[in-house]
Amino acid sequence: MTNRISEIVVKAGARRSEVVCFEHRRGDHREQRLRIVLEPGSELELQELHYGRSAGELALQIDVELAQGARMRHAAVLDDPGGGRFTTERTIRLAGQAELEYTRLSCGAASDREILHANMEGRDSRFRHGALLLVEPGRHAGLELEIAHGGRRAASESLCRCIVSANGSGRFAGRIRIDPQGQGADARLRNDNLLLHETARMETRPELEVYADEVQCAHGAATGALDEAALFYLRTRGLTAPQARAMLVRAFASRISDAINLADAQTMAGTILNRALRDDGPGRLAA
Amino acid sequence: MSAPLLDIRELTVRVEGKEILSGLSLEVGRGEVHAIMGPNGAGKSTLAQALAGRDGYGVSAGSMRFDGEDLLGMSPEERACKGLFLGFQYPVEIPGVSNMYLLRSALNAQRKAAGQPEINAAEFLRRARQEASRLKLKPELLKRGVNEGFSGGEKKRNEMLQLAVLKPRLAVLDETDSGLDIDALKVVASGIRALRDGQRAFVLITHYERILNLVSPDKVHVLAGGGIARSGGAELVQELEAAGYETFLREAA
Amino acid sequence: MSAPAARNPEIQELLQRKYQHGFVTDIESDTLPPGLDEDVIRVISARKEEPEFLLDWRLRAFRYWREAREPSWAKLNIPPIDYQAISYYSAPGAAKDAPKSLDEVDPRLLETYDKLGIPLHERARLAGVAVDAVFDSVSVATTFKSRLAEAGVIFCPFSEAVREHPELVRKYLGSVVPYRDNYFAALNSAVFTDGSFVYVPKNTRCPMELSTYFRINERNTGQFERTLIIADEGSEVSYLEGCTAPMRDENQLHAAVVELVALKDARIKYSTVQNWYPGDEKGRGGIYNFVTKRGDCRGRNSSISWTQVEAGSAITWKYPSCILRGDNSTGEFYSVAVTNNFQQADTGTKMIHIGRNTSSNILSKGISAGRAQNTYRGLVKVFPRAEGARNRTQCDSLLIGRDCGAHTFPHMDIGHPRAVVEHEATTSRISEDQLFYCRQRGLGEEDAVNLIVNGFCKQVFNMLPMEFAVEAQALMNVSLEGAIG
Repeated sequence: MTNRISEIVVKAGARRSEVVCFEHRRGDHREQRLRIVLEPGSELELQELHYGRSAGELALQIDVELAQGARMRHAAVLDDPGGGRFTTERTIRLAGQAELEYTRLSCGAASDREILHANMEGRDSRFRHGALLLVEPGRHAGLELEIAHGGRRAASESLCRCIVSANGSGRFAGRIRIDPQGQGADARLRNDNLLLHETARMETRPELEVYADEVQCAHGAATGALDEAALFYLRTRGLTAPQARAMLVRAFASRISDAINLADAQTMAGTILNRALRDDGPGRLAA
Repeated sequence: MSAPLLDIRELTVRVEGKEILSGLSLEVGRGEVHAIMGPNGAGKSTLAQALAGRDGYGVSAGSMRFDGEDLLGMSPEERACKGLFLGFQYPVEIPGVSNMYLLRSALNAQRKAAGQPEINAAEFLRRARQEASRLKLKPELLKRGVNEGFSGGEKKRNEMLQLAVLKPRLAVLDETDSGLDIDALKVVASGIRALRDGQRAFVLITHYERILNLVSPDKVHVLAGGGIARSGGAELVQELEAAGYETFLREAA
Repeated sequence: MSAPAARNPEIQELLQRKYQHGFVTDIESDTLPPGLDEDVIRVISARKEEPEFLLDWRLRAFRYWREAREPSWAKLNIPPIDYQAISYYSAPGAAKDAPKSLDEVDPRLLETYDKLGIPLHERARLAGVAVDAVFDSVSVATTFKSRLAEAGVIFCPFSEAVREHPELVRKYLGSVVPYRDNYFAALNSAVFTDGSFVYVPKNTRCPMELSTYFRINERNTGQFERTLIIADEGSEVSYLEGCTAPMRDENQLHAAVVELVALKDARIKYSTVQNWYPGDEKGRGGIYNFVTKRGDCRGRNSSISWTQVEAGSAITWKYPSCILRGDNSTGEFYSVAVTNNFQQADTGTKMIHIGRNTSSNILSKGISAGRAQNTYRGLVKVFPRAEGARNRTQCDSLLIGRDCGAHTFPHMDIGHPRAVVEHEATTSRISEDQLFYCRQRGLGEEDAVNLIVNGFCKQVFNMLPMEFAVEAQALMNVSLEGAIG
């Protein structure tokens, strides 16, 4: 068992761009910690990449702290065709006027579970969150999310999409909590899921807990299969059924995958999608 | 000589800590039609909201009198019951509350305040339908939720319907003409003309001269720099059309 | 035990013994002293001359309840309840210290009746005035009964059904809500004293709306009420429960159970207006309402629709649900829950999709004012064989004031890809723009709020039978009194 602690600190007013790679090898059983601190007014572009062929258990703890006025774009991609079991505990703290855009794509793990706590403690802080979980046959992916609005006029927007294939299961438990001090909150939470097979399964809990009155909150969730009418339409235009399916699944994924636009993460996300959704034949997802 | 219907003196209004109107004065007599023009951000809508008594539009100096009575300190509904009507620039949607129901509740609230009995339901329906058809408002819109799913033009015509049914003494129309095609504009203009009776006064807040060509105003004011930069007759409209607001902005500054 | 319980000498002795504990006046002699054990259940069953299967069932429920714990998952702050301090049996007419005329009734209650527009002759009944006067409703009820009999519809007190139609009761009681379902259902199963029973025969459309209002020959059944409605194949029935007027009630704990069974092609519509005493503006007193309501769409093409307006009670714990077992069956839940002052409501529904092409629709409107907490809690479950299942859920919450809370906890568990499940929810305060718009047209602030809130609830009120819908509106206005300013 290996334990590693890494830390990225961006000094006040500085701008940085970082790539953090985690290679997970067969038989790994370890805990890893990553701490990211943005001092006041600093900016960071961070790519967090996990890949490898593991079959072990991995526990990751990632803490992200943004001080006053700090801004961060964060793309995380997890690709583990080896089928490891991941549990990521991620905590995010946003001070006044801090802005975070965080997008994560996961594919391949036998089990991928992220527990995300975002504390919007500062006034006028902003958080945009996207998660795309590609659940391959027989695998499991889940996101447990809590966004707490403690500061005034904080705005959060979260979109989680799951694509679940045969015998796979997805789970989304998302909660927005508006504390009494969180007046003026604007919070949006959405979870959309695509079930690709009879045996696919999805559990969804999008929750709102509101203790302030001057708020705008909305949450939505939808779960269903690919649109038969759209499939038919594409086939009348000459696409094969697998091509049509892949195209629609890709379109569904693109709302989030498009937001992964930092160089290496983008390449990695593209590779994953191409593998999962080969449109010249049956990919692993849309088969 | 009685007092003017609306008498605004040295009015200063602050919104979110910022002074928008500074010492604005304006008199509107009975039966008159006034136009207030001005560039975006000049404070035209602020004047309308302050007149109607909206929270957050704090009057820090000056006075507003309506038919000799002080408007400051009156709630929005008291002002409405006195006969002050505001046509909203962005009429509000109230889902689930039928358009007719709101109109009847409003009319009865105003009649009650005036010591009159509630209007008979059949009489109300007849009147509302008549006015709606005059304004070419589709009958099904009367039954729908207040402004719910109405197009921009339908919302503006619905404001005119409320005006026609409530028959206020002073109507302040905040950009009722904007976003309307020429047919809708004609309907609105003829609605205003039909309601002119020598007593009822109008304040048309607008950005464009086209409505003023249809409803010839008695007086035209240019609002700039937080106050009335210039007043004149209908000829001022033509001058504005030719020269734009630039010159007035300079004069105000 | 082979002998009917009533003739059991031990029970007789028990009754005698309890009488010796100082119950002297003849009014009180028919009320059991506080406390709950197996003997009390035997007494209840004996008094009601119940068949043995029912006593057995009650006892099994009691034994289960004794070991069970109060549920704690709801977002409610429930003060401890002393179940041994409650008296579980009170015979009809045994109400003590009932007012003898309207002059003795709390004037604030009368004022509320005024605001709700309750007819004078009903006020006495609602206020629990102890008179034997024949109300208008009696004659209405008589014609009512004969029309139902003509159609073959059975509508009677539960205890009467136990005597007259034991086979139906035995077949269906507990078949939708088993006594093991939850703590309060177990308690109700053990000690329920009465309620309503409805059976609508095959291919019969019940000729009128059935209403608890017409159930005249009972008093004091409110505490542990048991309702069972069976709609046989191809039948249709609409049932109204409750009343917009607050009823006088000295019991703090209410734990009712309602079971609905819809067989093939049958339709049941169940509407509730709940306005039990909510406690005062300081949060003192008020009814605790723990209700288990569930409908079973047992046959193909059956449908069950719940509509509720929950305005009263200090604590509401209630989830009217549908088990969509039959293929093509439909479940609906329309709810308005309004909480003010210190009220707490945790309410919602469960839609369990088991059959193919089942569909459900959920529309919930929560309004929270004062220091109240209002929670929607829901479950939509799609079983793997429920191909083509559809659910649409809309939950909207409105907040009035800074110290209240509104919470939405839906749970969707989807096990079939050709199921379409959609959920939308919003929470917001009452819009300043809407308020100002109404006031500019001349409406006072309170009227403007009432108008907007009623608009917010409109889609649900539309589901209520006509006369209920009008009353519900008035009720909303009374419930939100003092919420502004």
